[in-house]
Amino acid sequence: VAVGGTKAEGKAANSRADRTGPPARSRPSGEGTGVDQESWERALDVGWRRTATGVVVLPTTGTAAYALDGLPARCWEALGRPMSLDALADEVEIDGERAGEVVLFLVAIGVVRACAPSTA
Amino acid sequence: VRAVDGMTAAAIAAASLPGVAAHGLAGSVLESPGGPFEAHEWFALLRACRDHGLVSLLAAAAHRGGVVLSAVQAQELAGAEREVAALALHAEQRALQASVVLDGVDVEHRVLGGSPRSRLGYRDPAARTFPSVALLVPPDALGLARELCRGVGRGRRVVVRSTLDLADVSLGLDRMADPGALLVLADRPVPTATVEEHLVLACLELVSLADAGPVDLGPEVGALDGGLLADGGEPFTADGDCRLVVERDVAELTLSPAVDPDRVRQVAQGWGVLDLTARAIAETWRTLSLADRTALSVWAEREVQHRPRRHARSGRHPRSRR
Repeated sequence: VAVGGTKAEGKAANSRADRTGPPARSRPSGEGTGVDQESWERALDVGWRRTATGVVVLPTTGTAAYALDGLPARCWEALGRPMSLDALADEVEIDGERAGEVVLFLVAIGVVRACAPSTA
Repeated sequence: VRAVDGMTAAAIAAASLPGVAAHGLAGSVLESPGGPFEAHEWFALLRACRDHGLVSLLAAAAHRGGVVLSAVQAQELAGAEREVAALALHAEQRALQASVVLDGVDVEHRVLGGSPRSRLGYRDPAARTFPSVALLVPPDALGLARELCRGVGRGRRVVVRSTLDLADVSLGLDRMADPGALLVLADRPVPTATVEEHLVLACLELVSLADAGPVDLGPEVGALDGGLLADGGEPFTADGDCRLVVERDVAELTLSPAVDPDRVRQVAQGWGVLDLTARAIAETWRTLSLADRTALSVWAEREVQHRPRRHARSGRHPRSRR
């Protein structure tokens, strides 16, 4: 039974979901990534469902679904409303650097996007 | 439940299923299977839950401590739950894609079955997953819809049903004002449901969900409304056994605060499925051991007890094998 476009993709999705860091190609290369200067929100039209331990998300741009547990799932839930990295870190009670890693991962899989800074 | 007194693992699993199906339902006196499980017991239980659409409910019960699992079993269950959740998301994604296509040619359509039931009827939408989504289109648009939706889902099988497929079955659909046609997007062949189940669930869906607001699938997809009827799409497994998730559907819809008992009876009467609706509700109350009584459940039990079975036209019960 497929969990993405194909069975193989499904397995890949699950294995990817076990990771909490961003894919290597998406890691910030140093200063100026802007990750701490933006607000972040869920990307439009991302399908998602809760599971007993987290969420499963399906980006519109891909064929693979991603299962998010633990910290990534908490960040996804929190990003139901736009917020800065600092606000996200406060919300899920982690340090800003860790929040940035998770956000970059969620951006890399296509389920979170940058938006205008929140005025809240 | 343990493998004692000669019970097979499959029998144990079957005995445990109503407890899984009733998990989280207010008023049910059934308990979750409990555990721990030997390997063969666990295999049978997980397989049975897959067959009956209950994986997410089993996962929820385990997560809340109602089912004791080994680490390996918990991992298997988590993987199975992710899988069915992802399948449901893909099904909804295909429905959206089809919806955009059909909107492009002004074909009116509605999303039916597990997706709107879970999102509008269930108290916890995550409890209900579904491998396919059904779209209802007008009969005269069926051919066009079939052609246009053939490419939806990147090569997945698209099953198209029309009312003609159902016209020969027992009750017929001539009593329904505009039965429409059913276009089912699925990864695999979808067993044809009985017309009786179509109508009973359609009645409950229509009455329970019609005023609950739009289906949250995007701006292009509307909610069910009074002009079009609903279809479950996948109430039976390949071998024809009733899936317990359908009884859970009946319970959730019947217990919905939005349901109007008088309107349910009125619509069911109009569609000629009053007896069937009563029996579906009464049987659900028994199967899931629901202690809470509602106006509909009391009516259903009274109907079943005091009325002779008038379903002689097909001779089948909604849960019977085809």
